[in-house]
Amino acid sequence: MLAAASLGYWELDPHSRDLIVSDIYRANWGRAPREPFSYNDVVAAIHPDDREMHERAVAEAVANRGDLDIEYRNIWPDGSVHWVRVRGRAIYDENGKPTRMAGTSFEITKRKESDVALHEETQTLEILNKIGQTLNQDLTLDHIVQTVTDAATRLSGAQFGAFFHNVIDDKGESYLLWTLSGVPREAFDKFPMPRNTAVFDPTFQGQGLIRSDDITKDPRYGKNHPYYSKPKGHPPVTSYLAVPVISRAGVVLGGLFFGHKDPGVFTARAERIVTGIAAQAAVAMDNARLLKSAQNELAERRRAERQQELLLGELNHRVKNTLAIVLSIATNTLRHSRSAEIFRNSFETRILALAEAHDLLSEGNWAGTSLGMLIERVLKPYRGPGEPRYTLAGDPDVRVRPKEAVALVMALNELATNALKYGALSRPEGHVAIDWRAEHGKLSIGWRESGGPPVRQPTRQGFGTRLIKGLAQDLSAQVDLQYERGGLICTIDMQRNDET
Amino acid sequence: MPDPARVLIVEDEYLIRLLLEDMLSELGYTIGAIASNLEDGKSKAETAEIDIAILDVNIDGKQVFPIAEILRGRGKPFIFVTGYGAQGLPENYRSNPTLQKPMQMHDLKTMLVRTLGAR
Repeated sequence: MLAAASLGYWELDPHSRDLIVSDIYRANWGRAPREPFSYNDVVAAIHPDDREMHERAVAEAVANRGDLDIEYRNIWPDGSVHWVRVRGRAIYDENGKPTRMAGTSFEITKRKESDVALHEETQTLEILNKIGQTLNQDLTLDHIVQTVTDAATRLSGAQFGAFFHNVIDDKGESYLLWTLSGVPREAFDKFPMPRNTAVFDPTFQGQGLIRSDDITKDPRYGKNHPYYSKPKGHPPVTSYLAVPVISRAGVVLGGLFFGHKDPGVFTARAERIVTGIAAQAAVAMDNARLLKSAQNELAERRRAERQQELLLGELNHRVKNTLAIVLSIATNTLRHSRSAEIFRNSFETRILALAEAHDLLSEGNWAGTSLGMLIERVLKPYRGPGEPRYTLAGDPDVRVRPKEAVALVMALNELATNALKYGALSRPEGHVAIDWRAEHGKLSIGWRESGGPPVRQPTRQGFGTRLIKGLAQDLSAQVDLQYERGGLICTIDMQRNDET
Repeated sequence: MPDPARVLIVEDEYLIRLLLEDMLSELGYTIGAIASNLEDGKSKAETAEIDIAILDVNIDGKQVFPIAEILRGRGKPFIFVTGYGAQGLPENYRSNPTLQKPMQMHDLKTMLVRTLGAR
């Protein structure tokens, strides 16, 4: 009955275009009862976008002897837009000429609006669902932010949207990245990052959403140096919508910003949609970050493990090498010792010298050591009470490499032991002068004994002598041993291609 | 009685070289040549009159394999000496005779006899 009450009636003469309508028909067009209402008035009131469709449908129904059944918009005298459903049929004379056309009208604005709303809502849900799926599968930050920015810009009705998000680089420092939708990147390239201005700050602080029909009228707008409004050349923004993106842990990951040149664009619905997208974005970004940090941690651990393997290999090599050296010293010392006691004394001093060399090197992180310090260390046990029995002269800055250091410590230890047993240090008045000089790519070390008993060339080469002469090969050095009357003189001349 | 086999020693640590020399002499071998660095080792591997070589794998931080290549080319057998273990060797040398540091005279003897015998 209600429907019947709103059903209008119309009758048209296609030739004269005379129109007869009921009051309900008039009401469907926003007219008062009995108000004059011509066919021209009807056509003029049809929404311009629908006029052609109406014209064609009427012509077709008449030509095909078919039913007219169309829905279109009309504009009432007060300017409001309404939907109407119009049905009708032509009546023909015996010659087949249409004489009359008659039908009904029915206002369907409410139904149409809910149809459109339903359609929009369905589309929105589909898009939201699609975003959800994309974000669930995608753990790449770049893709996530672009998907989110594009979708939110489209669904909110914005002209353009931006997503500013914090990124933490490999060094653990945070910086701001941005993604755009709706405008080319160049449109914003010349502007600085949004700072903590009165407009942007609440979003970056995660203090909640801002939706404004006209941001230029907002008291927070244009408060900040140097622009006091939007920067020159910035795309015009009147309608403004900004939503913070906050992680599960409450950390602000960034902010979504939307703009439109017209006022009043962003509806409460747009706000709800964008808030929903922001929540999905936060979860996806959290996941992406978790994955990234897990990957970083894994890579870091692998790197550390590789490093450790290398170190262990190197350590193993050094330990085994040192054991081989100890074995060599033991074998040779044993061969030249007449008694267990002699063996023990010689072996001990040699092993201690080797340990001393390692100490020196490990103090310098195995990057070499000062020659003066090295000689001092070797001779310290032979210092004796009172004035030292030896003098050192040389540049304290001369340094030797690890391999040279070990060889020199061993050789100097042999020289000192021999001096104590048979040479200058075996007598209270004896003295040893050690000097060194580095020049022209050569390092010369001199060992001069004086005041000792007369020396002569030994008939048999002991291990000490063999050791000193042999180390020369290691050092690419010339070793000269002279058994002078006053004492032994040993000179070591090392080739040094690179300064170390 | 054939002439004793001549051995090339490539080892950068003098004292270990000394130990090898002593062990080889005691086992009745002749020292054919000695090198303490890679360059010297390469030229001696090319020219020295030798029957077998003992090569320290790590020569002053460098790997000894270029010398091993030369010896392979000459058809001379060689024994590696290493503190790293066999896994420190590249694939194509894994099956080569290898002595672990610190080496023992008995192992050296066995390996020399077997390697020379397999020629």
